[in-house]
Amino acid sequence: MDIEFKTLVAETFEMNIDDVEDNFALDPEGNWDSIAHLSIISGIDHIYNVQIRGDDLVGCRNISDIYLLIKKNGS
Amino acid sequence: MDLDFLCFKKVCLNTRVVFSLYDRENYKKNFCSTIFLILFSKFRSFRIFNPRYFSSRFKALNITKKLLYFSNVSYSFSHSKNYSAVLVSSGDFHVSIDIEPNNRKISKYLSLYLSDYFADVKLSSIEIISILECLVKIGIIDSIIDSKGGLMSLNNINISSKNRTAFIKIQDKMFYSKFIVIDGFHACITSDNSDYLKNIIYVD
Repeated sequence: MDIEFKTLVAETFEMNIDDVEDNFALDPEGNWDSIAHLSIISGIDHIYNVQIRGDDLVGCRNISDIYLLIKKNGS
Repeated sequence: MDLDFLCFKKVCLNTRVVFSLYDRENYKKNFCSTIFLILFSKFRSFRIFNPRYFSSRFKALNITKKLLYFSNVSYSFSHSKNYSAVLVSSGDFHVSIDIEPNNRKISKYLSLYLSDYFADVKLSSIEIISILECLVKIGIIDSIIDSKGGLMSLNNINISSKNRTAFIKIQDKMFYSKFIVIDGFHACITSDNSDYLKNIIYVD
């Protein structure tokens, strides 16, 4: 997991980058709301030039799942 | 009938849009005894067994009872963290609500995306996001997220603002948004009828 992605996660979820762990959970009832979706999608587009689909994001349970999506869609 | 009810009824008959913002932690109701009321109302939902959707529908049901309007009721819900907002109005028109915490920060990449389309708009990024969320709920745009990936182009949406009211033009249709700050949240209420937004009342 690269530093750009961790920075994006930290900014999206308003947390310290040192607290970003690979298994950081995405909670649809809490932190994983529509604005978080938009932040992640716009960030991934800008940083990696990869366009993630919303349907794919909904299935993610932690940030490692999102990172795998980037690798899968970017390769 | 108690005095509160009479006052509420009097106010509501003179207005059109009623909304309530509440902490779900303080709004525990007997699930079993009220689920059937909701299932047989216009507020039934596939997600009714989720506590947040159950509580907002139950709240909407109570408001409509007090409004004494059982037909031509428009409504919208918004959920954020432990809070829910319920908007109910008499009349057959488009209306929607979105709530966001006042201190919610928008990431720089999302702000960049918004500034590509709305750089001249005198509204904060969170207010513009709320307008877009409301437009999705109304159904005038399908989503902000492109089904093929990435975010949608917003070239066809024109937004201007004056005195805390936003004017949105999309596909030759006009929509209006009003912003209300309450209990650490800002609420964005959007409708295609500007007159109704002049008469919003808040209930606990």
